[in-house]
Amino acid sequence: MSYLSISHLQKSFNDLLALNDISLEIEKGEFICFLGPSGCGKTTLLRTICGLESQDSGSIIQDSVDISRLSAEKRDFGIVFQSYALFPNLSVFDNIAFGLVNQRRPKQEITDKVNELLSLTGLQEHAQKYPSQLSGGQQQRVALCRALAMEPGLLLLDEPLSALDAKIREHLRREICRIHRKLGLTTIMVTHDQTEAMTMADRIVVMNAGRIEHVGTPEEIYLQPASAFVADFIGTSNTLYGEIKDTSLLLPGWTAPVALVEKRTGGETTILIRPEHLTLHNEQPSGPHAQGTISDIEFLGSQLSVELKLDDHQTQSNKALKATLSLQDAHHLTLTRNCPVWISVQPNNVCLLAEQEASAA
Amino acid sequence: MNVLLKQNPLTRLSFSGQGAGIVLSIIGMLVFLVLPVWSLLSRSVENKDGEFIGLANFAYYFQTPALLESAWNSLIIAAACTLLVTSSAFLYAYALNRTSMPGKSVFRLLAQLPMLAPSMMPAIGLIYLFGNQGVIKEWFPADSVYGAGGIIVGLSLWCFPHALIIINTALSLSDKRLHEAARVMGTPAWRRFLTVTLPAARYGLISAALVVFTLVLADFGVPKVIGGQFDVLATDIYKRVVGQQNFQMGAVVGVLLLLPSLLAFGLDRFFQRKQQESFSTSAVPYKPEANTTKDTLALIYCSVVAIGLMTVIGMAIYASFVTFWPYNLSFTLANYDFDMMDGGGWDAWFNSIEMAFLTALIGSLCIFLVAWLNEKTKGLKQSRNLLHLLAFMPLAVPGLVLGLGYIFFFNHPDNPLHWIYGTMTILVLSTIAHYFTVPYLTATTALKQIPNEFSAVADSLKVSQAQLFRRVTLPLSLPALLDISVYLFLAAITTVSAVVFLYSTDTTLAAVAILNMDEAGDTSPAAAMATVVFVSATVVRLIHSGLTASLRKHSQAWQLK
Repeated sequence: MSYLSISHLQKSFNDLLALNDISLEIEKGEFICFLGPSGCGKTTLLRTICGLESQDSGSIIQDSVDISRLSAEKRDFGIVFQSYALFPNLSVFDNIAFGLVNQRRPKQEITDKVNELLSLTGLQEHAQKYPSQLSGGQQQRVALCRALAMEPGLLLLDEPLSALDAKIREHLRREICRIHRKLGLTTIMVTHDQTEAMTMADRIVVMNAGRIEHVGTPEEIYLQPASAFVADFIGTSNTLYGEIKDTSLLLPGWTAPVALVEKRTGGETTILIRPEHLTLHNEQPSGPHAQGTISDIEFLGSQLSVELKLDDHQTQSNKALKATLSLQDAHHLTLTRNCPVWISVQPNNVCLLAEQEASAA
Repeated sequence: MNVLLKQNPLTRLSFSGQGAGIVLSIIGMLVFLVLPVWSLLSRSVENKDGEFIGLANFAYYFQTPALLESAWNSLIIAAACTLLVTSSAFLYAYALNRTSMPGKSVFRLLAQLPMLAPSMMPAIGLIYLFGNQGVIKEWFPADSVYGAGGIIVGLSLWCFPHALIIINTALSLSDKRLHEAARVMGTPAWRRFLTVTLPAARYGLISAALVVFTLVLADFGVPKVIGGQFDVLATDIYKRVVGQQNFQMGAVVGVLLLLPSLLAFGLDRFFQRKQQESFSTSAVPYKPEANTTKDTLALIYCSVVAIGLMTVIGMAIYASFVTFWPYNLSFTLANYDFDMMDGGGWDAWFNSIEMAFLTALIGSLCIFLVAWLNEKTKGLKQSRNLLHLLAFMPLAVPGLVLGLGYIFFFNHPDNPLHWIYGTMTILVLSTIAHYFTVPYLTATTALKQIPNEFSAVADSLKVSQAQLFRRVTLPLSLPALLDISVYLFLAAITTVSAVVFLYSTDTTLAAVAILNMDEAGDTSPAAAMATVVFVSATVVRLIHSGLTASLRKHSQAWQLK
């Protein structure tokens, strides 16, 4: 049985359905990210897991114990908030020792434990300072130490990096991953930042409007998004509508059908193509392709982002597509605004949405 | 059924301790606030034998021109004081916030002087200045200081700091960016004043006006001392109850006094809500630039007001050391020989100190606990909303009305709490109930600054909420607790309104003694007692400043810069 087992959680705030039939299995030692736009229910789910909110129905089983109706202080978790929530009148040491002191552990044990955590996060020399004397990143590391001090079975991180500067955020991101690897602690992090989720998580839970849209590894979620919402939320993608015939896909504006990797029943369908999967040509390529005109070019440093309009003579639609290519690739091409280009795509880079999703979209 | 299902299961778990606290708080508010006021209301529709007679008492009241006149007088006095105090306090606050005149901190302190005195003290000072034997009696703008003119000036002086605090806060919240935006668009100064300054301060002005209106209606110290034959509702109620023992009519006047206060309270709540909507937390504080003309005018104005306040209070102090006003101005301490006079003697002062000390101690703890229960515990939402509402009620109940309600409620032989009648306990409890709201708001504001995440962190660390309260919440709230206790102390030592009905011969208070001595014609000893109260209040205020400063120094290490 998995370490944390959530089944059919339901919760509403007045008229708003915050959690809609949430079921989820989390294995021991996993790093899970709840990812979604604000108001999607990710924080509510986290708060329900630790008992700060209570569900209307459904159950939560942690380490084979049904904790569904336990209050927060009876559950086994450590928590870190976006706002750090450090006690301002206590020193760094006392903040970390706060829970241990309350349990009347021997003094030496407390000192050892706190020092161990301080050295784990590189904060040894700050032990006697007060939180207001530390930088945001340091404060958040103290909060992490405090959450770890009681050796909880589950570590909950509620947008822990959102209040920090970009550089410090990246540094602390690696720091948290390193500590997670070292301690092997089951960890759930709430975030609205897809880069954070992609780089840190073993598995990502993408949420929208109180429901789970997709659960999977970062790679699965990026390459095989379960829904148009996921595809749109994670990175950028081009949404196209095509028609399946036998084992090939007809796209409006394309000269020939694209061969399909997986077999599907025929009919109208929605497909997704990531911008980096579109190949640009200055001359007409062999194989299936479409022709278009470059409408805009953005220089992003290591990459170029190109916006182009397909020349589709059959339909009146003037579909804009996004393509990104590395500077290296761009060197071999002549790309200027309003110049004609041809595009092609590898069949395995065409992502078909699940059938019910396709019909819904 | 549906309700049962929806009930938060975690709430039920945490009910035991904190839930009991909330229920106890509500019961306390009912017993010491709601039921006494209810007794007053029901007494106003009864006859002498306790039979229900509908609105007959009110009909009688409105058919008696002499009685009705005092209601009319009250309204005129209240309106005049409201206008005078709000506008003068606004100018004073404007000078403090929007000019760079020198000596701002001194002016800020001097404006607080009347808060350290019972309301009778400015009235006594006025009598020595403008009364029949006054040093500059011909300077007084009206015919005589005894009457409407004296009451208006006396009450205005006494209410001034209350209005100033509110307006000062409103003006200090003004956003510098708005002023700059208006300037770069070439808006002239007078238009900036009308379009930026006034709108930002208008809710503060309204709030201050309503507070002054309520204070003036409910005060009877000033009209009692200086009003002469000019009756107002507050003196009327006192005459009916203490003079004629006509409790029914007293209750009727009490209801008449309660209604405008309730109205003012309702209006204030309405505007406060609007104020919160328009307030931006990202405001950049305004920094005034030097402007010689403006600064000089501000300095002159503030000096006039401050000197006025000091002169009136100082006159009362001076007169208390004079042998026989105005014929023998030699120095004497005879007026301080309270034990040789009516009014309760030095015991009254000791009682006052004891009462103020107990009020500050018990009141601070109770009020802070109630605010904590309401702000930091989970669940029982409806009960907490009720408690919050009850906590605001004292603001709408004039002290005289509360005191009269206490007589009706606690003096009833069937009341199990009957024994507290005539004791120090009832004085302390009534004072706490009367001054509940402002400290409650102070505590709530302080608690709101403590993140709610703390309680979640404590849960995750298996630390009880009580431990969290002791080790974090309480230390963080100490400055607010100090403010609360000194507020309660000063209120308790200067108040007469509720306690004037509730003291017994064993528990005479200094402020009541001032009234009684003045009534007996012993004006100089009354001035002496007022001076003693004033000095005691000042000493406590200074101790408070010292404690706050040392606390700030002590906690400097962790305070946010």
